[in-house]
Amino acid sequence: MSEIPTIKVENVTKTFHLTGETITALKDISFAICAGEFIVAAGPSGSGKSTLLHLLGALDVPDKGKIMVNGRDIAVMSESLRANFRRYEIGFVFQTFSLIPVLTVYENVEYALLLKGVPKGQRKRMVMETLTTVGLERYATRYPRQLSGGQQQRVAVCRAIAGQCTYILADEPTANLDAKNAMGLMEIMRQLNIERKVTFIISSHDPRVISKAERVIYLEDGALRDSTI
Amino acid sequence: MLILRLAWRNVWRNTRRLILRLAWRNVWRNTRRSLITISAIAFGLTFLIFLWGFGDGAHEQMVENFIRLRIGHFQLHAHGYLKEEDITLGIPKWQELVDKLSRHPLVEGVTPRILGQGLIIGPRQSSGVILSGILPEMEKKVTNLSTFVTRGQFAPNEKVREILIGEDLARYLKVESGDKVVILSQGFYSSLESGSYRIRGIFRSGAPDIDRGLIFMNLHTLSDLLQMPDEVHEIAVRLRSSADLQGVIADEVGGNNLEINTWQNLAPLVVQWIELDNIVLYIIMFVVTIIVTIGITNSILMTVYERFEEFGVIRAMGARRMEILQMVLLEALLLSIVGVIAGVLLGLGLDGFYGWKGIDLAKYSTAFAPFYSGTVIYNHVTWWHVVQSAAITLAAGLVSSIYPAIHAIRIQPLEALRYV
Ligand SMILES: Nc1ncnc2c1ncn2[C@@H]1O[C@H](COP(=O)(O)OP(=O)(O)OP(=O)(O)O)[C@@H](O)[C@H]1O
Ligand SMILES: [Mg+2]
Repeated sequence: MSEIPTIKVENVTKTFHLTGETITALKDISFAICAGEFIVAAGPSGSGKSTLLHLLGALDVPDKGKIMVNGRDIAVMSESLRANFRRYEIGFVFQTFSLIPVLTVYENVEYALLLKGVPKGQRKRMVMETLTTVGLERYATRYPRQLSGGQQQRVAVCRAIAGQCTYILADEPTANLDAKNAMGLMEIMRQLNIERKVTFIISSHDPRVISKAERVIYLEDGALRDSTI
Repeated sequence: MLILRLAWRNVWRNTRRLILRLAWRNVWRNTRRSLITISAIAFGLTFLIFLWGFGDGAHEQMVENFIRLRIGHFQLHAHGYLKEEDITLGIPKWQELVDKLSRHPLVEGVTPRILGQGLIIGPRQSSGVILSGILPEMEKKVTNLSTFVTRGQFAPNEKVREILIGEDLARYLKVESGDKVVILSQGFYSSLESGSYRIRGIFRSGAPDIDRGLIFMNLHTLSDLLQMPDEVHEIAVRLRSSADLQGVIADEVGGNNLEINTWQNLAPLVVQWIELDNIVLYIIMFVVTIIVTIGITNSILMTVYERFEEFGVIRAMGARRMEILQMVLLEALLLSIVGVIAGVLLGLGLDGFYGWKGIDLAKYSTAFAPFYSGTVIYNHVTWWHVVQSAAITLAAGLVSSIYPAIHAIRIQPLEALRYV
């Protein structure tokens, strides 16, 4: 594992303004992530895990601080630059699987590659390779509604990783899965992390998920409590 | 810059087909709603095409009947005759001209006429009338006069002095076919001429001015009465198709020193009536389009709301606003195309059926007869109006998607994801 950090979060603060009150979701947070790490962001509900992942995912910008990814500060990028950044650098796995219902399993994965502009010849190979890794190659022509939740979430992981991306963000990916599927998913993500050397940042408050982490980032009331290696 | 442009092109080429596929499948995602939307477009368009078919059919018949009534497609007079109605302003060498026109392949019939003014005197009443001298066989090919005869016979003979009078005039004069009347008129040389004539037939054209104020006799009979030299006052020409009007005029009569009037000049009211009618049809078209637009907007907006999260996910994955926009517009376009195809087919089908079977308005109202269209209307397809209706409906479909599309591109990925 390389020791040069690919992601550097420096003094990041994020506040939300509701009528009459200001919520500080993240308070002056700093940490670094190296390429190929498998990280779980843990913490109680409301501690700021999702907020952190949104910032890392260039879906939102902090009030203060820098988020350096490969030397670029995504905290100061314009909306369209961030969209472009997400397209090429980040894979997302959402809590609710969020596959496109009108596309087949194959097409859902292919969609991410299309957005990245992967040429046709490579696309088919990349999609099938990834689906094989998660054991879903036989389901390529099925539609999401014809799959179980666990299977759908594995497709979502495929979609996130199929192209070349720098890191994958998964916000509570196991929250809608039973224990067996949750562990299965964690194992698949870990396997992909090792095989493809892609950085994973997963948020969860499930102890079993946390136990699979290589490193855990603990959040409490928007502050970093502890970082284990 | 070049690399950027290449990259952009590459992405665009790749995603375009998927966007099309996505859009097409999204159309069929909620089959029932899409079918309702498509039906709205299709029926709106069907209605428009049918309406135009009916309107154009009625107008066509109106023009046709009007032309058949008396005027033909165009008429020739000596300069000044129409304005002054002076019977000394005749067309000399008319026989040659009539022969030449008759030989033109696009001409269906030519009829020369002598016209005069006179007084018709019955047993008790008399009435001022226009005297019209015709050659019955030639007149038959230009107007429907022969079919208007309701009592007695057509074809006033040149040997015996016979006339045809309208029903209204006959009723006023209290005469019947077979009765004798006296006609007084001022002749070519200003002398007062008169003669006694037998009523050969009584006709009804439906046009009050003709039925009350026009009498027909043989051209030679009238020529005798008026002491005319070998001249006629009017030559009316009927063409095989009104589309050939200007061509025939240019071919045949350009060189003659005569006044040429097309049916449009001779019957400006008919032209204006049709134009006014078309304006009404355009207004209806506009209203129907607005209603259809509102309906589709609503339907597409619903599909956008339903896919709030999905758009959020796609945006999170880095899809550009343009791509979302394309997706929504394309969906509307696909819906509209399907609707327009269905609408055109249905509309033309209806036009075809009612063009063959006709719509009998007599069942609903008797008020249509004076407009010369007849009571049975046969739909007629004017392609220009079909194209216009289809284009405006397609445009309505696209316009309908603009507001929903703006909604869709405003969706922030974060917002969409938070509500899941
Ligand atoms: N858009 C927002 N507007 C206002 N407050 C917000 C917003 N998003 C997050 N917050 C607040 O910020 C804090 C952190 O929220 P966040 O969603 O990051 O927590 P979390 O750790 O993901 O919780 P959970 O485990 O329940 O998902 C919470 O107090 C939350 O109410
Ligand atoms: Mg959360």
